[in-house]
Amino acid sequence: MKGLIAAVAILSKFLEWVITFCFFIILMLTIILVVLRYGFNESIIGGNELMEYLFIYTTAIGASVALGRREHIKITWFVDKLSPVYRKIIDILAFLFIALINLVMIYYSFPWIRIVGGFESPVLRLPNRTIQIIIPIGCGLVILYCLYHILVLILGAGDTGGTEGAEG
Amino acid sequence: MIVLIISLIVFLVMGIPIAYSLGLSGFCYFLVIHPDLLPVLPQRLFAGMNSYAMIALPLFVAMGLLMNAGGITTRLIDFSLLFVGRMRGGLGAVNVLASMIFGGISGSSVSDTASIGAVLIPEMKDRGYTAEFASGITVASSTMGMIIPPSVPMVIYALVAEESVGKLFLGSAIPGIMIGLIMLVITLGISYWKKYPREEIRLSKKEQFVRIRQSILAIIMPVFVIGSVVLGIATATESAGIGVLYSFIIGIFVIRGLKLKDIPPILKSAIMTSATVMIIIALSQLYVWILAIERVPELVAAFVTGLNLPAIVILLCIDVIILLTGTFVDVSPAILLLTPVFLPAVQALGMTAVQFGVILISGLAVGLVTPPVGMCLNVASAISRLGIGKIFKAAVPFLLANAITLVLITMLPSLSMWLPGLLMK
Repeated sequence: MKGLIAAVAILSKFLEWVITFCFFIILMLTIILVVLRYGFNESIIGGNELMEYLFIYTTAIGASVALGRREHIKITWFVDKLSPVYRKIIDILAFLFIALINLVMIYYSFPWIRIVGGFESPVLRLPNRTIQIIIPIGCGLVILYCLYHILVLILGAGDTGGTEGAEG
Repeated sequence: MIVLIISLIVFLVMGIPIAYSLGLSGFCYFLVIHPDLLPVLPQRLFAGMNSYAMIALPLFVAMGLLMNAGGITTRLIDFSLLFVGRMRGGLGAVNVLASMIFGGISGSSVSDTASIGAVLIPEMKDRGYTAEFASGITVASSTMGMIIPPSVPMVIYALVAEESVGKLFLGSAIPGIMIGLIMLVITLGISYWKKYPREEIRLSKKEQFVRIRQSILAIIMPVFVIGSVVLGIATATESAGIGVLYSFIIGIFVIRGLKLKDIPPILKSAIMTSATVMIIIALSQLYVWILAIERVPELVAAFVTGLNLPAIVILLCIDVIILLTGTFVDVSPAILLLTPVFLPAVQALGMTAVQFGVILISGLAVGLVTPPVGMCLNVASAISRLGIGKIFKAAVPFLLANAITLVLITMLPSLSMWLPGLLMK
């Protein structure tokens, strides 16, 4: 069990650095595009498009990491009042439901990507599937984290690394 | 529609994250009512994530975090002390003024409570203020964080309402300042009554000059960010990007509190915050789509206009619904849930999307300091070691400022429409 917890922690850290790097690129592109426009009357072709695509990647991956860390915004005042046993049952059910909706997304995303994934993006001429594929990847990661949390809850391995999240 | 509402309530009560509760209730609806539309779900999710305008969200968050990490909070408190510290209850007034300025820099009420509260709550207790007063004023004044522009919730609302971010920033400026001024009057009134102390300014003239110079450079940032959007020099996303660069320069070279090693954790924190909000926005697209299929916005608008009640009565009732929603639901999901339902209805009554946005955000801000889910209360409770009930009770007199302003901006459209009308066509 300790090995699993360590592996998930490493995965989360890796994914966090991936999205932080993507965000750094987005930030740099934003600043460079403004400077180029006003300073040199120039632009980076496809810069805005690349920013949008990186942002989609950060959202899909970031949402899965947030679930891993239990940082999503939720209403907990009801479940907080339950006894630990009932709370554990509700938590397991909640993770099963989250896994279900993500499974549904994966199931329907492949036919969708097969149909429209071949079209190219307007500026960068990237096949749409290179961006759309992040939907099943992100949903797959969410399912992975759900299974991990369920396993930890069932085996009673204590804290799953969560900080009950809310918004800033 | 009943399937959607009941399933949403069940999932929310179960403690399922709001994003996935929206997705699951949407799935239940399509499974029962329109199974033929199920294959479109991933497409809707993708469309919800695909927004250039929302790139502004992590950038604004990063801008506030950089300023905070740079040590702007103590500078702003010193700066405020120079102007209002000598009044009776000076530290209370400092708390309000610093929150007004900090609100413009951070765009987040929770970070306002955490930053200003960490410094001022212990300091106020040492100077003879009750812990309840210190915590109450801290949480109440932090509500300005998301009203005074630039504001992260305003960017989210702009996306949902398809309204100009610049107009919303300008529209919320006067109400935000009004709340601050009314709160300042309430603070001084209570301080005279309770005989709270005045503060001595112990800084030399030279130190005062340095504090003012450092603070001014931070204070002009919101003007710079909003100005670039309003004047059409940059989009909201670009202005936020430039704001990040500006915060970085101020933090490293002027205030010198920011270290290069602080940058990666700040960027990580900003993008994680963004991801948790963006996934709600993305999955709320299913909810918005269902509302459109069921023609809910039109039905609500027809119902509201068919009531034959004076518009102001209906609008005040909507204010109450906003306040109640804010009590139980966090700001971002509340914006996503309420805007598509009520915006067409209030527009039918002659209200603009800008005015409604300002009302919505001002009303929801109060929810951050009301139990059971008030995030600012939790933060203040962790700092002051008081229960959230006691802090809320102490905050009530100050929240009168929010209530008065909410009623005024509902009744007087010019309070939120004058500046956008003057500066943007």
